[in-house]
Amino acid sequence: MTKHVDKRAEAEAQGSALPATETPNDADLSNPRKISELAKLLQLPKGTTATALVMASSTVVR
Amino acid sequence: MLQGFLRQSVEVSEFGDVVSLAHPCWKLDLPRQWVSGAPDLEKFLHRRLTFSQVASPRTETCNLLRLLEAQGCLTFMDDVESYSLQEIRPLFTAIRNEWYGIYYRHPVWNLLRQGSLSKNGLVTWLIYNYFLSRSAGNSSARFATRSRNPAFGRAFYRETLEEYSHFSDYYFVRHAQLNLPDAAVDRYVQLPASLAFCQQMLRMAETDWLAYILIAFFQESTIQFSDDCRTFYNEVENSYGIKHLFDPWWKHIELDIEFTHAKKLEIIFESDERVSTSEVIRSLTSAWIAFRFLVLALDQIIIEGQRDTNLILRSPIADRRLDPATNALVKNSTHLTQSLQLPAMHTAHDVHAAMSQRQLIGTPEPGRDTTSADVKFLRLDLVRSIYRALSYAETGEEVVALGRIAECAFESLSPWEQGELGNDAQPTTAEAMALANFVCEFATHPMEFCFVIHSLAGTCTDWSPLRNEKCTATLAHFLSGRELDAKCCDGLITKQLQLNEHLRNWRIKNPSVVTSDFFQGSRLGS
Repeated sequence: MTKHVDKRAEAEAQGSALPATETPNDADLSNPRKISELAKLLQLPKGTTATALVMASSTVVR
Repeated sequence: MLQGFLRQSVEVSEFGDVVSLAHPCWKLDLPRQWVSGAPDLEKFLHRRLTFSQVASPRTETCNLLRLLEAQGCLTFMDDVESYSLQEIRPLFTAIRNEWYGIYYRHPVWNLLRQGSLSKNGLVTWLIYNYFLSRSAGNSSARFATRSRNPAFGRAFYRETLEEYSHFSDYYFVRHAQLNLPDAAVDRYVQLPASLAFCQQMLRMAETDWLAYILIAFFQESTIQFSDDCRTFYNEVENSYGIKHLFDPWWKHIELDIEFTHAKKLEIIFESDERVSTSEVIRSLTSAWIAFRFLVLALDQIIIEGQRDTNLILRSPIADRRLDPATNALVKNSTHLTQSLQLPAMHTAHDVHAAMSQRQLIGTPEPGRDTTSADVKFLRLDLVRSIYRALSYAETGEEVVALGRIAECAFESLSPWEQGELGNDAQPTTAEAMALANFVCEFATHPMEFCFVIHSLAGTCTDWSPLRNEKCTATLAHFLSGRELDAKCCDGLITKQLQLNEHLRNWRIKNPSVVTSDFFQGSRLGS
């Protein structure tokens, strides 16, 4: 398996899409509940709609 | 198997002018015209190109791909030799986000939001949280002292101290409307799945360090949903008229944010330590079983809520009285419809005999497939637990009894099975693991352990490695010599009822079969 960082470099070398535009440091792109905000932040194409299908509730206590 | 395809858990569909991507947690509707203008992207969405093969000059395409990658929408390879922890992190992010989708779409949450779950269900859920918190210190200490990865275990000496008291600091159910004394919460007999989760964490802490860290990370990472959580607590407080109930819970969340527990765990994934892919699969399977127990606990909370509208706790047995009208544990684990008081008993064997006579110990299940992977797992795990119990035996009598039982059990295994004892097999269902863990955790208490395996031997006559006469006679003799006070008798009765629940859950028609689609993802519900 190739590491993620290498994959990006490889993709870039091949002229493909990555890396993309800069994202502000405080944006957690992996948070599924922030999908609407992230879609706006990342300026997805006009007409895109991002909808959260679940609302989180209680944290899983530890 | 190539890496970087769109995961199966993201369903792509086209309606009119829209191309829709549905992840378990969210939906992205993209303009079809825009998608059509990027043939590579279209191929990626149809799983004909990998993420890295998409060549596009469009910033918007790059950004979409970047979002999908970060959200864990890509496949991973399972035919490589090993993964570094850095590589496991994005793999687990993909799995974790799918699991969040499953966990948070559970019907219990809306029932709680709307106040539709009965008071009994509400209290069951509140107490369930108490036990989740209480188990954190236990399992963390187990990980610190017994982990097979001492380097990571060391970090948990401090973690244990940060966690162990939180259950009593924040999770007792103290509210005038609910009138639940702390002692009642503390004594409560956990839901089977709640106990199964806690015991799975203990097993993983000892035998599967990666799985333990993954689940701890899964739990701690839910802090990212703190905004939703605040909203949820407010809704539940309003629906049930229990203002301020969650104030201490919220304080605990603030503490987690302050201690940055999730970040501390995340740092572990910066290590370049490598794990073989077979070990990764094994750990993900263990973690999935733990996750499955979390979901099963939500199912059981709904069942508790539906069974009784008034508050009926799952209480430990007292004075040998089994009353289904006042004790949910009795109601759930026996055939009793009326209160029954067992006669006075003096030995562990008396308890076994009295319960057997009244069909309070599960009856043998005919026709169980003794060649199933679950049975193979349970036979080996039970033998390992017997040896473990022998290692904790204190008196000469205990050593001899457990030694004989170990001898019988070992000899009942086939040569192939004997050779497999050194390997940590895994079951095909989460319910089998719950049963195995329940037995294993008694190993430090020889009398209780023998009581439980004696019941198991009588119940699982078709596959148990303890089914020969010598073994049964040894167990009966040992238990006959264990004189008990009234409190100990009650304790054994309670444990037998818990065992009944685990056995019944394992035998249900649709058990939780272990999934194996960690690398490719799977469609929700499949």
